[in-house]
Amino acid sequence: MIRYIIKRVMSAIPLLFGLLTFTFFIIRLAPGDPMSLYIQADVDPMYAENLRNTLGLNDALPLQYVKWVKGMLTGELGMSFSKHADVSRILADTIPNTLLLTVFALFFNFLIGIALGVTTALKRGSATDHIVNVSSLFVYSMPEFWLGLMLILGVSLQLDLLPASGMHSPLAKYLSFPEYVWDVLQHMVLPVFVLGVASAAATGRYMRGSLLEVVNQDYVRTARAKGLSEFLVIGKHALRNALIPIITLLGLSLPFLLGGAVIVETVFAWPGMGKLTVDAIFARDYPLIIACTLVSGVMVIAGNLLADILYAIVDPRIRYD
Amino acid sequence: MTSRRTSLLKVFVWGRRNIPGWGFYARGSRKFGALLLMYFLAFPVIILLNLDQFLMVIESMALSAFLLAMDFDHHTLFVRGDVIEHYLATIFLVVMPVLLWWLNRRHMRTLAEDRDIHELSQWALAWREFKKNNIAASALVFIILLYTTAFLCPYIAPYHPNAFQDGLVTKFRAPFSEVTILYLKEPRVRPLGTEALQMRSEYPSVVGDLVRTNIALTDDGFSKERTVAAFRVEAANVKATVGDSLVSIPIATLAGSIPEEFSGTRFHLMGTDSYGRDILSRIIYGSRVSLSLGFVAVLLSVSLGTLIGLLAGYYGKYADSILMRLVDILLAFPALFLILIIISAFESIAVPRVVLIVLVLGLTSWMGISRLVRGEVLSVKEREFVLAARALGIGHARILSKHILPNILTPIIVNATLRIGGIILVEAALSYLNIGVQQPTASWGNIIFEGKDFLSHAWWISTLPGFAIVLVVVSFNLVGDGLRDSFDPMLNNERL
Repeated sequence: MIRYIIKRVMSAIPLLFGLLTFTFFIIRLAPGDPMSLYIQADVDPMYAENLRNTLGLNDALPLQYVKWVKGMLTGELGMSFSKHADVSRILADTIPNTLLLTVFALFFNFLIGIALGVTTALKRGSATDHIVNVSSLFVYSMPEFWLGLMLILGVSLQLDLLPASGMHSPLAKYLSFPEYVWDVLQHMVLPVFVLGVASAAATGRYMRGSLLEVVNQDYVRTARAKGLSEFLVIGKHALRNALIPIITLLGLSLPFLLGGAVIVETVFAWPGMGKLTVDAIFARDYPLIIACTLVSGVMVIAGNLLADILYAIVDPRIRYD
Repeated sequence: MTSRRTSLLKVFVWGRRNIPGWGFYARGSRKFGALLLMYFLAFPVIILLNLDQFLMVIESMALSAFLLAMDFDHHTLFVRGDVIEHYLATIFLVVMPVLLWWLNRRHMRTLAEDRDIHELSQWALAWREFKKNNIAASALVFIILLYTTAFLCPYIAPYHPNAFQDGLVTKFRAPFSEVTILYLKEPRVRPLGTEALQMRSEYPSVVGDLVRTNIALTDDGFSKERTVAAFRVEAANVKATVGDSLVSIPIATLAGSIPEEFSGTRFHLMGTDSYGRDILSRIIYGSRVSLSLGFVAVLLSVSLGTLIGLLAGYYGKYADSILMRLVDILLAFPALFLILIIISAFESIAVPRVVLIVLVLGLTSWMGISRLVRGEVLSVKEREFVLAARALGIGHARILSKHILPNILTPIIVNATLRIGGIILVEAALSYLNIGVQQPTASWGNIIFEGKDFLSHAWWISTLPGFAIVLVVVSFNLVGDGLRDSFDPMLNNERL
């Protein structure tokens, strides 16, 4: 098992490097100028030129690449062009904001999803089953930005219950700590709802299918036959096995933690990784784009690995040798 | 008496063969037959309702064809982009019923006697199962109707999608609202002179006719109308309120002398946007972007994914490991980042935005399919019929296309159908980040994007296109699920 993990981690390194190189070249080959911000009527053109020289943007592409690889190997992520700060510093500021959103969303996703899946699977064919199935079909067929806009329209603008955007109120820094937490919580409700509930619909469908498959297995019939209560049959025998694919799903949701909230963060103006990446791409902020790709690439690869490992742990029939 | 009866019988026999749907209805497929018949009859009805427009397009097409044949050097003079959509709609309007007629006739001929279930192909069996699934079948009917509307939008949309005038009066009208208009005697803007164009061609009179027809065809009709908030008649003038000001318009310039003659209303079922454009028309025109883009992008990604999956699975060894590592790298990108990076990288290249988006969406979403196909190929290529084909010395290309591909087609088709919905959602999300299809071309995503700043006082702009997206994506998902169930009846039995 350990050997397998080491092997997977080792093979992930060239993968990650390929990903970053791909990003490096595609953003640099693209037309467009990261210094376009400084090409204005009242800014000396030499300023942009000097900046380009100091940042090494005038070097030949292979040279830039060598410098970049050197930076990567020494753990140097560089300076952001558009935010005038260390990229690692920006990431350190942004990642917690996103995690705050996505950890809650993931929690509700699986909590609600599993609950819905189990309920509908146990009451298969009932009215509840049909209602939940139809509504989850509609929920996961919705563009999430539109769901977000509709919630802003209904909850924030019409009913005035919750703030529409941002992470805290404009004057939040003058609040006491409990008030500050309350303020952030209020801002979180809508984005977490959009992120979590929309995916709960898909998770629920998955869970329903998985449980239905397990319920028809022989060992569940055996458990029933030996007179166990329905609660024990489902809770102890069926559910544990039905959760196996869900655990894989959990591992595969790992990249979502840092990269899944692009649209929702944009709709709700939440200062997180998704919004940061979109802004970086539009500003052609090369070091920041590479850093965001690195972060999300690591998450994807780690998520896949985690999914495989979890799979082997919960299902001892699976062996990786 | 008998002769009348036989002639009536002849009419029935003729009708069953030549009118799509009638035969099916008579043979017992009541629902399918009735739907097909109604669909078929809708085409002549649309032609009759828009006869002027239809004839104008025919005239324009004939003139263009003539000029293309006789005077190709100057064809850029008279081929206009915005007329092409009228051409396409009209061709569709004519070809579709003929195609239906032909298919129906062919079907009725081959279906001389009832065939045993064992003689039916896999496809015919699946189709039988699919028709039994009412929900999926209704979703399919809905999708067909949507695609038809998308093709016919110049005939169906009530207004031109980009037409607006007097923003003060017409913008932000709520759904079901009416705008008062005054009909003018003379158009406010005269059509451009055609002399300059005519000079350069050898057939000046044909060019003149064509340009005039095309102008009439693409005219939004607003130039002979004037929108006002309210008006009253005072002696020889009409006093109209436009915004905050009171305008005086001489009745002599209007098309008539009494209010019933010179005034009317414009009805906006779904309201208007911030410029005063009709939302319903924009949604109808916007459906073209979402539907065609979803379809073409999925076609591209499925073809590419299938090809790569076939190669990797069939040839194995190095091909397999290289192609699958490529898949791994591309899958390690969060899809949306990849799409964003590529689109923003290539947005200044002189390719229409829709084409760019189709390419990017198609080329970034094939990885899942190729994994699926590779897995299927790995199992199918060890089966006896493939081994037999190999033993017979059949070439690789032929084995792949004739023996392996047909046997793995069903999961590919199901997957593709389920994917279209996802692609439509991604396209809408791109529009929401404002890198999708650009204004003034309407797409569902960019109508929502445009309306998001006016949520508090004009909710309908962003809300209504969203419903369109949800309905379409739900329908594609239902059809996909239905296809999966009907290709795999065993699964179906287990399910309920």
